[in-house]
Amino acid sequence: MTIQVQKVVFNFVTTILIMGGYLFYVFEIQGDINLPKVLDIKFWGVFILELTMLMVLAKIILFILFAIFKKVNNRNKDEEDLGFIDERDKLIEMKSDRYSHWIAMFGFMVSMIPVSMGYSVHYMFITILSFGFVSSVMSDVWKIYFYNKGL
Amino acid sequence: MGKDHIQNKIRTLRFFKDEMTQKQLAEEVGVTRQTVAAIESGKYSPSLELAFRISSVFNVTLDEVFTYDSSKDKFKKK
Repeated sequence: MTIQVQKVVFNFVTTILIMGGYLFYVFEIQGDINLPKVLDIKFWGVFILELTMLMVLAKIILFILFAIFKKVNNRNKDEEDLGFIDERDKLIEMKSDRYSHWIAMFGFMVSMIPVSMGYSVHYMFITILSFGFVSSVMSDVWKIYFYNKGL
Repeated sequence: MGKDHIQNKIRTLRFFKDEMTQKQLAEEVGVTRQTVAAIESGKYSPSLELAFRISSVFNVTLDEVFTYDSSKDKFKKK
């Protein structure tokens, strides 16, 4: 597995773990407290902001740890720089991000359906978050595909 | 997803340049070894700039490294 694919797989796994962990924390650990609050817009505002901050911070820390692990593990091997990206990496990133943005945009449009039908606002947030998560995961899946199959 | 209409002779040129490795070529042109491997196997068509850099490493012209076969090109002019 090349270093680029390792990075993408690591990102893929950490996204699932952080999202899963945060959902578990909010709905399982604090489930009794928070379940009636899903109807409250403030709950979803805090939920999204907390999740975004957690994602950013956790990813920074985990990627630093990943870089240290790779450096220590391959100190005697001649492996390529973890931070180096070339034109092909940028193209793969742009292409997979574009596809994932389509999913996110589609999710946003779908999230308007329950709102327009007069359902509770939490359906909208759940739809947006679900599609946001799927788009993030699919971005990594496409990157892995493009790295293996070519552009 | 290989691009059959664009072929290259990088493997041959590397061989005649003292069995230059993909990693050495990658370092010379400023890309990763995986990108060189993808170009060699036809999975990726490099930018014009990178193509010129590759040809300058081997001291040959661009058309001596890359060849274009229009009969295999699926592009149709609208």
